[in-house]
Amino acid sequence: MSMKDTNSNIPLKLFLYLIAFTILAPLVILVLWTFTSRWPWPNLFPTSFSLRALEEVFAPYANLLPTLVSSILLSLTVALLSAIVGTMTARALVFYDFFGKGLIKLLTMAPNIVPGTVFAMGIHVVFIRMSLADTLVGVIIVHLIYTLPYSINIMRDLTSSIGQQMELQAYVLGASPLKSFIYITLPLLAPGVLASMNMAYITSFSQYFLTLLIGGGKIRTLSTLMVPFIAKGDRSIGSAYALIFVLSTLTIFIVMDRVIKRLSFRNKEENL
Amino acid sequence: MELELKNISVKLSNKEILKSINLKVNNGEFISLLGASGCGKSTMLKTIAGIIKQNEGSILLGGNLADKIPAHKRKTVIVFQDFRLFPHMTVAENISFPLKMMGTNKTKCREKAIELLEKVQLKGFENRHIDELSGGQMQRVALARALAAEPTVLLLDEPFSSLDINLRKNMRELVLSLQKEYKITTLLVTHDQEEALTMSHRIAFIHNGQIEQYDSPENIFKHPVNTLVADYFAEGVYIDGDIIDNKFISGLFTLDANKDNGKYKCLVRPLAVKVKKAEKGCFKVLDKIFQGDNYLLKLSNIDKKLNLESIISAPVDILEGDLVDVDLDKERLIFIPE
Amino acid sequence: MNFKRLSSILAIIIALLLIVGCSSQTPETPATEVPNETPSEANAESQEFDPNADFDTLVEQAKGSTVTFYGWGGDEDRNRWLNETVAPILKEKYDISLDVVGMNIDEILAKLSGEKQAGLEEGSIDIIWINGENFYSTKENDLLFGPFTDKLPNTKKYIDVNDKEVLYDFGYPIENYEAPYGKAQMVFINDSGVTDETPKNTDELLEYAKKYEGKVTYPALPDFTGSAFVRTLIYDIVGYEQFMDMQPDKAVVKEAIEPALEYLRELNKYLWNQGKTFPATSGEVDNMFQDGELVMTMSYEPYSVAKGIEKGIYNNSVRTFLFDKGTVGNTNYMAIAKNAPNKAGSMVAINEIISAEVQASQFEELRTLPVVSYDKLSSEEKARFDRVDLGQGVLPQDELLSKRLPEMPANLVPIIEEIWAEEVVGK
Repeated sequence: MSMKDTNSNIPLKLFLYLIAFTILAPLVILVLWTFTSRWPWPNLFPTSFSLRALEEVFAPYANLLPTLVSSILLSLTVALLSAIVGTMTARALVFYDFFGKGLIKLLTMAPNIVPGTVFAMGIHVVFIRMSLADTLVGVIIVHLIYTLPYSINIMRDLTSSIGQQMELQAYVLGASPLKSFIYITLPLLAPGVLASMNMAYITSFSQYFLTLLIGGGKIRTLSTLMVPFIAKGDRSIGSAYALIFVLSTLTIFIVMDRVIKRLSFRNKEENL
Repeated sequence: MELELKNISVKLSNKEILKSINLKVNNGEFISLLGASGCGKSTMLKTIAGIIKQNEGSILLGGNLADKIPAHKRKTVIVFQDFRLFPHMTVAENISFPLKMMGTNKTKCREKAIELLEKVQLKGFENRHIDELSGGQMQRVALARALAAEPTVLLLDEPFSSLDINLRKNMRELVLSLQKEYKITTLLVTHDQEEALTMSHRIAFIHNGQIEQYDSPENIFKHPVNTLVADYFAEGVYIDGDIIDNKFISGLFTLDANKDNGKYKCLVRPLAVKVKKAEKGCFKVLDKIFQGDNYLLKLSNIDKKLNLESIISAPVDILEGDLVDVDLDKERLIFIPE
Repeated sequence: MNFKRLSSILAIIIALLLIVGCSSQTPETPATEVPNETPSEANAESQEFDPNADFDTLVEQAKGSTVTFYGWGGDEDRNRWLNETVAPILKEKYDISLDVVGMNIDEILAKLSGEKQAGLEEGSIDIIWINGENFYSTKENDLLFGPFTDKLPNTKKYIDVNDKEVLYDFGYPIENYEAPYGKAQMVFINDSGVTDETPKNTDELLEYAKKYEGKVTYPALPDFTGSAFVRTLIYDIVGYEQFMDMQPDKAVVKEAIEPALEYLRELNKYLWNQGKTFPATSGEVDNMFQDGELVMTMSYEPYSVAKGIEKGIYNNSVRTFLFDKGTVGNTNYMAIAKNAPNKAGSMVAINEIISAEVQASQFEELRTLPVVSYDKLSSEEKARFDRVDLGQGVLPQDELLSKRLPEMPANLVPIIEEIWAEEVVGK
């Protein structure tokens, strides 16, 4: 019986290994390139190594650490706001009827329909008039415009699949609308909140053109540091930045996952 | 607590669901709202609980106007058909949720949850997860949770319909015993006439958003006000006629009937029809259907073109094609005024 | 149910944001809008600044201020030099803080035109690293401040104002709207350890490509380097003089370069992937050369080989070579945005960057050809330039300058790029 089980799992295992490989192999190559100066074809391994990329990336003038910390904070703010606004908007779209509902559904897709540069130039002019250009708030808002369609759609599907039944049950058991939202709906929405925060975080963290244009160069992020090197084709410095990008994002995702699980299952841990 | 609905009307997306409902429920009474699906009985429950707002009329709880009290302060607790246990909480957490909302401290919450679990015969289940429970266990947890909310009115929305038939009987008994113990005014929404008849002090029969009849189980069964109510409990054959001086006179037969003069329909349910095998009987047995304890006989009087059904206890020697004599049980005949 | 109102309002706010974002693409007449938040303050500032003032007054005004320097951020050596050499000099000498902002020229142009459209009188960009078509379009669209270079003492002291590259940028008159920053020149690069030949003209290049079939290519136009490479080939075949005053007309240009187009199509047969496709960027071509996939690469930075060898990217046997008739060269410049918040500081900073000291340091550290006129230097200064160790695999400055061909007028460049896409790729 157990023999049979392991046999039938072989294709699945192979598939999992294949997936792991396709995820890990590029990472390994990033690590190798970070320390490589030359890797001519057809050599299997790099022919010469150097610390040049790390020296450049960590050089004092590049301000990597402050920039990294502020980009993470920026993207976390965007992710949090996006999840909050996305959850609320999804609720409004799923449960309530109000004037212009259809239009809003359509408009949440607009930034993905209109070409990015065109959209950015348009919003730039508006932001200058609203004194939002070259400010952190402006960058956060413009990132939100890009992340919200994802957040709203993720939350909308989940909200409509969960429905209002649990909330109604909580009302009649004596929970105010706010408490039922916090204790019942939010924990049920937690997987969606996490997915939407991850999506918003990565969208914000990798924004280059919008950050540069609306931030006016004053708001510096890891992407605004990294992209020029990738565009230029400098594989060592590009890989070093990309590695920092991937590792910091993974760390943030793990932290987000833990925090959200802890928050949504808080009741349980308290009572047990 | 005493509950009163005055002239309640509810419209949902421009459709009239409830039309001028008036209903008074005494403290500690067990009332069934009986009717076919879509008749508005669930809406009535939700309106009482305050999660649907009535368009007209008022709701009184203990003699006080409750219209302005929001759902979470009414203490009118609904147990839904699908139980709606919170999947991210344990059994104990589910039960103590209403207590937590009242601000009860954690130790008290847990004590109370354990106490209520014992009441619903689920001792030791407090740390179970919801997905580890069977349907009946979920039902018990839902009940315990509703009781934890200390309801003034308990509203049960088809609570037994998703359970196996064997389980239903147990659950009905449990609900009745708890209702008696806590003396909670209870409204049960059901489409099952047997459930309504066996459990309630009074039954409100609802059809098309209106209460057709509100009476004790015996009265509503024996003296339905119209054919709608009568048919819902048990179908039969109607015979038109008039009652004059305590006699029901139709083209087919004449009977004693202790009623006011007027036009009536006489409902002949199968149990009211008694048959006797007779060589010169005027009814012919068209069909004989086995029903476990009973047989259903389909009868036809060829001369008068009258079809009747009869339920008789097994065993019987009557066969298909036999001729029989028919006798009507006067106690079981129902006269409905037109 | 309190949520109903809250979430509906939120949804509407988002919708409004999206609407303004999408609707504002329609350009509006810039004259109608001047709603600046603090017009009095802005005026006070601009009244104070007088471009014609004595340079010492500007230095005084610039004291304690910050100058932002916007330019491409993908050159780690230049970033380091600006931050670690130029910035300290400006701080020490003038108490000016230099804020180096990495931004591509396309985004700088987008930012400036957006600010102009919105009527923003005071932006955030002071100095812009610019040349060619971008200078042409910014100047034509009135996005630049000037003229100003004639007011800088170091222009008189170090710059040859009659030099064609000081008067014209890709054939377009500069009129003192930008100051020279550094000189660039197209060079060819291969590895003597791999191939002996260094083609001296287009014919030899064709032979070279035949011999190393599939191992030569160039970046697809309009890549900056690819475009300059093709212009260099055109010059070698049909000469450069005729382009200097050519009509920016596609038919005229096409006729003039027809022999070169034929050559390019012939060359295609022996290129990487038979010239059906070309790598998108010069970075890709260079990476392929580093990996040994190609036997030749090219750069607009004449000393890139020396830097590459030092960094270990190139083998020690990699070298630079030119065509006998020469290669295109250009100068890149520094301009000041019309809405620059710190024009006085910008002028002081630019004046310092065109000094012998900073130019010499640029030559030493970045090996960028200086823009100062050798004849105007003092003997000490000359000695400093002469001492610079250019590194391995490169050509001396005088050889480069003697084989330097002028860039085409800016408005011919996109026409050639268009013709190349139609007549050369995959033909």
